[in-house]
Amino acid sequence: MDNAIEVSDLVKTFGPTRALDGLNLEVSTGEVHGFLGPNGSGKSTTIRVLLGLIRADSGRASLLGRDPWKEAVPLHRRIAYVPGDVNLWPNLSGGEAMDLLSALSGGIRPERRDELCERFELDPTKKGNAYSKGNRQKVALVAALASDAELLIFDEPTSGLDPLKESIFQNCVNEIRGDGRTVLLSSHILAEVESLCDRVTIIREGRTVETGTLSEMRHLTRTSIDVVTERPVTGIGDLPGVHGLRVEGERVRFDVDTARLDGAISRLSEFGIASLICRPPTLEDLFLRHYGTPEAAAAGR
Amino acid sequence: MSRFTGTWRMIRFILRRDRVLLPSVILGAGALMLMYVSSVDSLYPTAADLKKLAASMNGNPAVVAMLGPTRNLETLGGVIAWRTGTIMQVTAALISMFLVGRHTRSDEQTGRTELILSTATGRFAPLTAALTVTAAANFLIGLACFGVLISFGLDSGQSLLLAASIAATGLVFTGVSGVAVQLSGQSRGAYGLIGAALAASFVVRATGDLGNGDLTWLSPLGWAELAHAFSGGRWWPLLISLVVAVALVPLAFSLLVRRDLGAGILPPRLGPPRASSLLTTPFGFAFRLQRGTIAGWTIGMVLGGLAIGAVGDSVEQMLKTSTEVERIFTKGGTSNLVDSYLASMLLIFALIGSGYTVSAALRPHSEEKEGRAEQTLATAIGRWRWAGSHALLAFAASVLLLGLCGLSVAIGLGLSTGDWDGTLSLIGSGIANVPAMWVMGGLTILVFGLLPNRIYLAWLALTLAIVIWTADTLSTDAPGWLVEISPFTHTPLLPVASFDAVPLAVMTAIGLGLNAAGLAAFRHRDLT
Repeated sequence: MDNAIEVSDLVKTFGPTRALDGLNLEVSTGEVHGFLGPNGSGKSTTIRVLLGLIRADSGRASLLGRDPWKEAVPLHRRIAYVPGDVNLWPNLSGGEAMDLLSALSGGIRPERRDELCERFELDPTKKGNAYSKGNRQKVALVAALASDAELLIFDEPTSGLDPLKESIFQNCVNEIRGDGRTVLLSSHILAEVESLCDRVTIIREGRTVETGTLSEMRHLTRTSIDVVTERPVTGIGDLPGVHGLRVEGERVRFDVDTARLDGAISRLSEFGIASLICRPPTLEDLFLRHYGTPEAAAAGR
Repeated sequence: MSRFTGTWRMIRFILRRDRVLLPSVILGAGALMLMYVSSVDSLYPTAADLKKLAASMNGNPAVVAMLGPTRNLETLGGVIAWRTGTIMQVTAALISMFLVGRHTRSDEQTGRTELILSTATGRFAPLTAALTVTAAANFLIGLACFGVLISFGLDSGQSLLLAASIAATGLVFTGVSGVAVQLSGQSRGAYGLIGAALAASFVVRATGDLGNGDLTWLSPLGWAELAHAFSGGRWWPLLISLVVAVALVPLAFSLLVRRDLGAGILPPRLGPPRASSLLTTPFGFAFRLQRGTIAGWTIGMVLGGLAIGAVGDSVEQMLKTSTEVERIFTKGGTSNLVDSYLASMLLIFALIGSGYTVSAALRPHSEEKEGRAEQTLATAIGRWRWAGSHALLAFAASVLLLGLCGLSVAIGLGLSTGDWDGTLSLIGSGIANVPAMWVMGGLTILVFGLLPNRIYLAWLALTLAIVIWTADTLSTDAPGWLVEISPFTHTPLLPVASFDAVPLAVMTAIGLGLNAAGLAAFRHRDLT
């Protein structure tokens, strides 16, 4: 099986709301896959279908090549999950909750657990209701990261973590990738997705709007050019794919469709490039292009 | 800005938030009072009835410990003050505990207080508002009790004194709660401290009443009792309650300024860094979540059983005080009054204990509602094993509760009479009620599996069973079909009635069948 997760035409309705409206998602084995979408776009619903917690109305979902609803229990031995909003048992200590969650799944490596507690600076003896949001999240993260799960599903796992702990989380995910294991990472932190993920799926209103590697996606978008030339530039505005040209003497700024980048640079070089800043589109640009109102997209640029 | 700024606004905010809760608890307390007063009124209609009651109860140590000294039981007012005093005081204390805790520590724990205090609201405002509203609620509870008492034509001065003594204890525990929520950083911990204070008050009061009475002066429940409503009557002991209640308020404020927001004065309790091997099995996990509840219910059932057993000996005299009472407790047969009475009491314990069975069977529901089920079910535990473990525990602990209850009735009886022959038969009599409880438990699991948005149906079913039992017991003309649908009317009252395995086997099968159907339905529905 090449794909750890395969979802096609998934539909799930809650009363009149169509939470998933023909969603597609493919995650290859061994990759770290970013799952992006605004609030209420269906990320958590998709994950709950993949975990067999809810049943899709139609469409196909397969997890590690099997049916997530019918074979939930054997599948759950091979996966680990961290919800976005971690609720712990008030009368169980954090350490007990970790051991419990791990033992009910595929087991835990105790030395790894202790090491992770130390790295995340988590006190496992506190009771569940004494933890802050970030620390509750750490409890679930340590339980998942200390497991040997083949597939790890994270639903906005770092929303309560400080930047230091977030970078520890990123190191852990890279180690998991190194082991050849698969990660599905739903996140709002675009920088995190950008630095961690091999491929990204962007959804909106229950549908997939874009999927691929970041470089593939960038190809479909525009690159910002900020250039100073020796001689005044002419004729750039007529080139195909050039947008938003602003000329201030020798300084020229414009956006160009990434597929047309070569032509624009060739033309610029004719005027003697003195300095060139070429900014590839960030994930944020991609994100805003898909979700933002035109104003938001313009502001992002 | 004063530290009290915004108190009035907070008071209005609490009244708005609790616009249903507050009237419900106040009227609920009044209804409880009404229930007690009307039952005493109807059970002992004549002076002769009262005289017989007084003769049988006077100085009985078990009832003195439970309810307080037997004073002036020859009058209706005397009996009512004696019967309702402790229970109504405890009710007012518990209501005060929940109201104060809900608007102080619980809000603080969830971060709502932080939000409030970030506005132009003084640090003392939330506590002041919570104490003010709770004190007012106690005043209204007293007023409701007063209304009930004078509606039965009782002396208005003494009625006012009894009502005031109930409210006074509520006020003391309003103050105690104000202090306890400063001490513990968690509302559960604060409730534990208040519960311990209440239990200590009860034990000190009971010990004092059994001895020379000196210790009674050290207990808040004692002060109210020493006001002697309907048996002499004096107001000044209530002054002690009032002084203590008022004195606790500055103590609470001085503790409040000595701690950080969200923290308690007492250091938080830590847990083990590692899970035991028991915890990591589905059943052990369910047990761990429920063990506090089971322990609480066990203590309650054992204490109740001991108390009933201890007075079992004098039941014959007591039953003869009133033909009405006698009729109620001799439903199972009149061959042996004591056995019949105890069997009826065990059935009542089973009805109360069903409250445990239903709440335990609803544990998976609360896990689901609070978002923890999602994480648990993302592990390889499986829905059947997860919810099934809780159901199994609910069923098993019901056997434990009723078995222990039967045993403690036997112990209470044995200690007071020296007769231990009935021990095994009383345990059996307790356990014979379990299949009916299983039907309630199975029904609860069915509601959980099939109608997770209609959980109240489970509690409605239990309420209905209690209503049917009451109707069947108090009147002879309850419709037969109504009586038939309650599982509790099918339980043979052992050992007075002859043992009949058929209804027990049928109820067991129904209970298990409902349970299996509920689990199967849960297996096939979306997690909410």
